[in-house]
Amino acid sequence: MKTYLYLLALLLWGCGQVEYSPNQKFDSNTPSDLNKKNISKLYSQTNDDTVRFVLTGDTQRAYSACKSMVTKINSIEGVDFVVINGDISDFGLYQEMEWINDIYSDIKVPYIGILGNHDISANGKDIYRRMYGEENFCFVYDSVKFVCYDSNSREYNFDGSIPNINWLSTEMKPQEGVKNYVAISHIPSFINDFDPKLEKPYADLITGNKKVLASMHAHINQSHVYYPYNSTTPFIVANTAAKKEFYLIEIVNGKLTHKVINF
Amino acid sequence: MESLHIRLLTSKLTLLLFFILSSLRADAQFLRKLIPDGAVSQYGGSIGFVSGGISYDLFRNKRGSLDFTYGHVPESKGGPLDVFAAKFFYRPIRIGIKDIAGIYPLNPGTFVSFHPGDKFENWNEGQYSKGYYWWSRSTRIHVSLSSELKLNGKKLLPKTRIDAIGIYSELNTNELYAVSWFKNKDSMSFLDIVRVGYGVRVYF
Repeated sequence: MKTYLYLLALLLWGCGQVEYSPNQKFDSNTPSDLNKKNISKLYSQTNDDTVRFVLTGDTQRAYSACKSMVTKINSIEGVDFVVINGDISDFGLYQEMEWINDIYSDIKVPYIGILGNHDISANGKDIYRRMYGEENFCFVYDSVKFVCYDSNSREYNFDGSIPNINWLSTEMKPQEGVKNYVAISHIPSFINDFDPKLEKPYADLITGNKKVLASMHAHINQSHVYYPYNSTTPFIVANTAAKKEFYLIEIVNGKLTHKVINF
Repeated sequence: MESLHIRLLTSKLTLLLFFILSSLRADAQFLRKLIPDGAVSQYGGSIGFVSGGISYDLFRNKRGSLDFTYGHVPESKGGPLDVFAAKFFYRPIRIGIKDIAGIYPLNPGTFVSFHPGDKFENWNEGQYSKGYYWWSRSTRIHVSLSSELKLNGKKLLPKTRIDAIGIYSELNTNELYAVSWFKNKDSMSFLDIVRVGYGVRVYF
C-alpha cells in the first residue's frame, strides 16, 4: 500500500503542464501570426480558375465535433483554404485557441481565423492578436479579395468604431488584380449585436458594389443564406461546429455558389 | 487602472478585517489566531508565475491548511497579470520517514483565484442582457490534488523557529477547463486540463 502511495505521490510531480494563469496570453508552445503564415502557405499553392473554400462557424468548446469536421474537410477534393468565422474560443482563453489550432492544423490546407465576440472576453483580444494577427486584414486569392474584419460591435459597447467602416471602404476600393470582393466577419449586420448606427453604411458598402459577391458570417447558430436590404447579394451565415454543418463555397468567373455540408 | 483596483481591493479587505476585529472581543488569544502559521511561495499552479503568501493550519491535527496568496505574471510570461488566491486543502494520509520527515501523498483541495482589472471585473451597464455571458472572467474555481514532503525543522534546523519545511507539487484544474473537457470526453483526455505548480511552505 505504502509503495503505491509513494508512486502516486511521485506521479503528481510529473504530470500536467505548468500554468501561470488561465488568463495568461501565451505559453512556451503558443504559435504566433497564424493568419500571416497560413496566407503565405495559401499563396505558395498552385491555383486554378476555381476558388473553393470552407466556411466554418463558431468552434467554441466543440473539440470533438471539430475533429470530425477536419476529417470531413480533408475528404473534399480541391479545397484551397478554410475559414473559422469567429468564436474560436468560448471564454477568451489562450488554451482554447491552442486546442482549436491543434485540431485545425491537421487540415491539409491553410486555415484563417476571424475574431469573434467570445474571443474578445478577458485577455482574448490580445491572445488572438498574438496568435492570429490583426483583426482587420485582407488577402487576394485568384483575383478575389477577402476582406476580413471585426464586427463584434457589442464588445465595444457600440462606440461607433466597430466595424471600422472607413477601413472597409478603403479596402473595397477598386484595386489592380482584384475582380471581386468577399467580406468576412463574425457578427452579421442585421442582428442587434451589430452597431445599429453602422448597419446602413455597411449595407450600402456591400450591396452597392456589384463586385461584392457575398458577406459571410456566423454567431447565430444556423446555416442560412439571407438576402437583406432588398438586394441580391447573399449574406451567408455558417452554423456552429457543434451543429455539425459547414458551407462549401465555390467562386468561378465571378459567380459564387454555396452548399451546406453535414458531417 | 489595475493598480487602482488593487488599492480598492486592499482597502475593502482592510475594512472587512476592521469590522471582524471590532465585532469580536479583540482579546489576545484571538489576535494570536490571526498570526499565520506559515509562509508559502509557489511557482505556477495557475495563481501566478510566482506567488507568495501566508498559511494557516486548520483543525487540531493540523492536517488542513488555508493559504492566502498574491501572484504575478510578468509580461514576458504572458502577463501582466495579478492574481489573488485563497486555497484550502486537507492531508488525509501521512507516511512517516523516521522522525525526519513525513510524506503526505494525496491531498485534495480547492481554491479560488481572482484576477483584478477592468478586462476581468466589470461589464458596462446595459452592454449585455442578463446571462449573455454566464461565467465570471475574474474568478476561477479550482480543484486540486497535491503531494507534500514535510521536513521536520526541529530535527533538521534546530535553534531556528522553523517548525517544518514542506515542498509540494499541486495539480489543479478550473471550472472552465472542466466544462470544456466534460463535453468532449470522447476526444480529450482529463490530463489535457490538468495544470501543475510547485511550492515551498515554511511552518513556524
